[in-house]
Amino acid sequence: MPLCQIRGLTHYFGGLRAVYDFNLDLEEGELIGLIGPNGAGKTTVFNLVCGVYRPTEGEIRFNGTDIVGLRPHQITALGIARTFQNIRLWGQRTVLDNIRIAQYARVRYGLLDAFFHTPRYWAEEKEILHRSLELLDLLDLKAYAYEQAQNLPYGLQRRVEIARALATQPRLLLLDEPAAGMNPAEIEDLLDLIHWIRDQFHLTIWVIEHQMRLIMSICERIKVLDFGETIAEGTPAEIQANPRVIQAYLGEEVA
Amino acid sequence: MLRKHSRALIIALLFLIVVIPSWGGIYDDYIQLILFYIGINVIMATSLNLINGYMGEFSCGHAGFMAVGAYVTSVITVILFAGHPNLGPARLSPQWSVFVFPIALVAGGIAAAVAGLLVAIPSFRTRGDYLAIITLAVNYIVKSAIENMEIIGGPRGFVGMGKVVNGMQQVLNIPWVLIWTFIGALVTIFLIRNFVSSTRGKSVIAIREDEIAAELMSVDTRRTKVVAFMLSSGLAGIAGGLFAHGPGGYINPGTFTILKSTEAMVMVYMGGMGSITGSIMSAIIFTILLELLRPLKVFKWVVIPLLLILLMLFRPEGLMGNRELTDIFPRLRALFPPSDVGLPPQESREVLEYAPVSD
Repeated sequence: MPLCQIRGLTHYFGGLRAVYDFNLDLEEGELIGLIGPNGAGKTTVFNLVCGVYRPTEGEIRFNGTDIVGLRPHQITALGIARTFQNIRLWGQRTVLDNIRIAQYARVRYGLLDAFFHTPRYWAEEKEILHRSLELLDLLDLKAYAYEQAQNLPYGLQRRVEIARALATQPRLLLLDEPAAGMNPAEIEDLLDLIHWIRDQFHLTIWVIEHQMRLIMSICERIKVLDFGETIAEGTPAEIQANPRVIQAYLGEEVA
Repeated sequence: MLRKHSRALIIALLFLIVVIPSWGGIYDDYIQLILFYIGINVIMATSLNLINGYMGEFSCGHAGFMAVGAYVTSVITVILFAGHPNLGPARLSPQWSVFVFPIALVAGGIAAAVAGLLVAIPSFRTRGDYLAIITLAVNYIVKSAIENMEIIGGPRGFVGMGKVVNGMQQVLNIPWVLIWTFIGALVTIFLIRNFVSSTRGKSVIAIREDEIAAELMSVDTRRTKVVAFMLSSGLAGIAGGLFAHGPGGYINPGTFTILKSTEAMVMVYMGGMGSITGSIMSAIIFTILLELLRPLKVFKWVVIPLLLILLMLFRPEGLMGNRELTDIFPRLRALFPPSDVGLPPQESREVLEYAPVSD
């Protein structure tokens, strides 16, 4: 059974049809790309999967559970985490705090433990701290643990965002334009990072990206959206040769 | 050593500075009154800081919750120990109020916390200016509701708390209300500090910084908001209960208007949003300033807002900004037990043990 199954996903913003009849099966461990011109509805698909919007129609099953109508934090707790197109770190908090807060769903101590700092609180907070430092260490971010997130350079902020998403212990990771604003060298690093993360954390990864170099070199399967509709699906080679994709991106040839 | 006993030390110090001189008659009634107001204002400012500072919402109806606590606490104590023309004679001997007073305070706090839901639930859907208007409305709702309840005196106010306090003093002649006020202030500081340093409570700050990111990073934002609003308004309710039992033993709904809420807000912004020590300091400074400027009479309310304007112009982040006193003077950390396991390594042995930060 696929990890995530999307059937007939449709969403309207008022009268505007943002996504229409979107279908996708994500198999465990896959690395899938979602591309399309600006405004094609890619981020909307992510927002629907994460529960930011409730789809007008359609079904999303994750790991066998129907997740339509759940609140975003519940969906995240089930194992879907994401990063954002424009970085949305908690800028004034330290990198470490960013990682710790993302483990909210796994806090088992109660409110009274938090109010009175009981032994149970300390034991669990230490656990969270160690897990967070371990994760930062794995992602080479440990040196920045006590820096305010907003003071890091752009590329590192992207990395922290990925670390924060990983802190929620996802099974499916959604990356929304992870390479946006990066220079070629940074993109090279990102490629390695994405591969490494998938193997290290046994994840399924779903990427939205405009950087064709990145998407073509890492994705096993690509889906192309245009005006909310799926216009192509296939391996990178198939997509590159698909006339509808070329038309969507470059426009029609004037005869 | 110091760190281990710092709590006991602070309490002992407070008693030495505040309670014992008041008891021994070294402080006259006037100084005791100022100390009492400082205690109340510390509770008000620190509790409001949780919402306006840490959570970044603009709540401007804090006095409404204070009113709920003030009335609920006083009605309980007056019914039991003092008697009231509308509520019948006293049920118990006034001496028992020594034990019941703290319980009545907590009851007032709980009632105010429930009233806090009036703001917490709308906050699921609205933020910023819109929520500010809701908090303002709640302040008016509470005030008008009390004004229309004839049984507790309506707009004329509610009396009888003086007898309750006298009852306590018959048992043991110490400044009971002042003592409870400082205990209340310490408990407020303790609870809020503990809450915002926990991973659960840090989610309040995550909501301020980016609510959508918080929700998508597994934070139950609704639950967090309910907890924050209820904690904040509950503590304001306790401040109200204490306030009602102050000198005079009289309250009326006109005390708990938007002006009172504004005072609490002024203290939060003066001290620095998201800084507990800032709120404590500004509560002390603000209360003393109000008294020092008393000779100016009505002009006091010209000078104080002017000082505020100047403060906002030259130091918009308030006295402390987002920091605590221990961030400015790290040596103070030696005095206090750490509230958070994840402080920078030089300040927390815990992290050093894990592994030194290399590079």
